[in-house]
Amino acid sequence: MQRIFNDNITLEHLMRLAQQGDRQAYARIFQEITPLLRSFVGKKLSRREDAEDVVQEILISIHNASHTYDTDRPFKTWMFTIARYRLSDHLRIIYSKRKKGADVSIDDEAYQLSNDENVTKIYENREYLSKIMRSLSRKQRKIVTMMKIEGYSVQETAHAMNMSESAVKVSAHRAYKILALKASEIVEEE
Amino acid sequence: MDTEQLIQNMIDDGPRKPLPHPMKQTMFWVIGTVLFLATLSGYLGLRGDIAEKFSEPSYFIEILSLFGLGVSSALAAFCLSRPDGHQMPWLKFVPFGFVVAWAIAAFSGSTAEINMVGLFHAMTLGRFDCIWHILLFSLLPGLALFLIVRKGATIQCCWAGTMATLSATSFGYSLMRFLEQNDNPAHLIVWHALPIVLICMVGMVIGKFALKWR
Repeated sequence: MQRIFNDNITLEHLMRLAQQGDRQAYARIFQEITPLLRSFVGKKLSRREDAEDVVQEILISIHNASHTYDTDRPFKTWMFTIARYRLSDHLRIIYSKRKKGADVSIDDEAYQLSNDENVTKIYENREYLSKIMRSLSRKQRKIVTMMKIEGYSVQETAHAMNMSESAVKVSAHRAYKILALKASEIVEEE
Repeated sequence: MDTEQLIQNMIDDGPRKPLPHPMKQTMFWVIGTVLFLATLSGYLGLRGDIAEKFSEPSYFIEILSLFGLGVSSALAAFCLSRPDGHQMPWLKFVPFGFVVAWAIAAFSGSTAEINMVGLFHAMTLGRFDCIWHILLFSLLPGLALFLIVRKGATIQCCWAGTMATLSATSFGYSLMRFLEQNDNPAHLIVWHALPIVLICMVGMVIGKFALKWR
């Protein structure tokens, strides 16, 4: 018999019930988290099929790691850590393929950059991206590429660049401003 | 397979049985390790001046710091076996506090004896047996620790490997301090502490491959 859960029931409580063997609570968890994961992955990957594949990988990982969740800790923090890890894995594979010369869609790159700064609403192609990216210093270009194209976190970028996290944030913020300015100049020129 | 079908399959499987709390895992592992080392020390025999040494506060604090180091790094390793590090990212830095406490307790009273000549002299003595003993004492507890950590889903595998190795070797080091009647600080640095640093680096590499969650 289908059990009705209260709308205010938390994911932590559902997981507690699931770990005690309640299959309906487990089903409800997947019902609740799948849209969250689709939205999370959709922000990073433009191709629907790729995004759905990654969502499936994350769901499998959550299922496989269900024994590591402590119900006294926030569920979403645990879930998004796994989601980020799997997404990074996916992006790493894409970019290692690209390094080897395989065909990778530029749409993903353009789409990812457009998410935060809304600078590529009109022009979503490599030429446009290259043009505006040239307006950045080498360091800023690397930070934007790592954070917005390759999907690294601020912490990982800071580590790779040997900079502090706050310095990365400041540098990225300045880079976005320059990109926005450059984009508006191009629009005016045209 | 579409996502709905996949979810249905996972629901049919049901969630896996939760791991014991990291504190509980640490407690069991520490008890096991202490019993193992106590058996070894009973077999090998304690140093002759052990009762006298325990009356020295610096020796007592050194042993306490080593115990704290072993316990805190084991706890950090168990927490790191969870993808979210049990949501306590600071925990992996706690053992370094114990390292500082140990260094102060072990060497603050003998800073004059720690110089390049002394260290070089200690190096020429070639006491590789100390390294082998520490390795031997740490091997079984370390193996057990790695196997338990592997049951989780480790994302920070290098950190987990380092913490697991640090914990096992710090217990091995403690046992050496109970057995070996040599308190020369240069000897302790060259043939005890530095090898542990190297072993931890090896542990980090092992962790990267052996603990990686796929």
